[in-house]
Amino acid sequence: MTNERYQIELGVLQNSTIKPKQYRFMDMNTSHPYLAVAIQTNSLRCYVVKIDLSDNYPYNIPKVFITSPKPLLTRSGGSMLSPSHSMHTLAGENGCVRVCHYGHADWAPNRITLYQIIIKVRIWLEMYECHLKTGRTLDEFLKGAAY
Amino acid sequence: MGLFDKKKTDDCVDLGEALAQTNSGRREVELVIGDDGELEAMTPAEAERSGKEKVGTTIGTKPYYAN
Repeated sequence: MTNERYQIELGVLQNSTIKPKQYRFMDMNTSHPYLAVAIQTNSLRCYVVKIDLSDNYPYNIPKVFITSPKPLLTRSGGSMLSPSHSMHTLAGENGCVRVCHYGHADWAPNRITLYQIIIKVRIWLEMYECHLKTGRTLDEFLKGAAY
Repeated sequence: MGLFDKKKTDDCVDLGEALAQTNSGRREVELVIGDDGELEAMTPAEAERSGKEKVGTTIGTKPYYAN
């Protein structure tokens, strides 16, 4: 990510509902930079989300992982590390569940910022907790919610 | 109302309370470094009790890129 883009991302976050103590850009001068974000759901549970910026962000869709709690499990205690259309996950890495957010058809480097990804992950987490309560897949909750 | 299987409007009380807490500053979360060096998320009160290092961004004091 260029310094110019970094300043844009930082500016968006500074003017958003995400508070500075919730996030931090990590390892920015290395080949594996990422954004770490603490997210609290409506139930008050806390999660850490890692947005991987190493693969030429924003021109490629960044991988997004839930790094804490690790690993996230299904209601029945099953793994979520395999790709699942119904659970909106991709192949996990290092024991961390990878969240599916924007697809190739929707991704637009000049229109989508990290803030929007964070919002999508927040929605994913709320749906995940609905799954824990009901056993229904995330896909069932998101049906009809065009976004 | 069908999205979350809600039957009545007052089923959204929980969300309303969450929003009220957010707006009043009673809901907060922050990044800390855990005992194993991994990042954790916890409330400010929990972070204070744990004594763990807070690592959230301090705007304007951390130049990630050299100019």
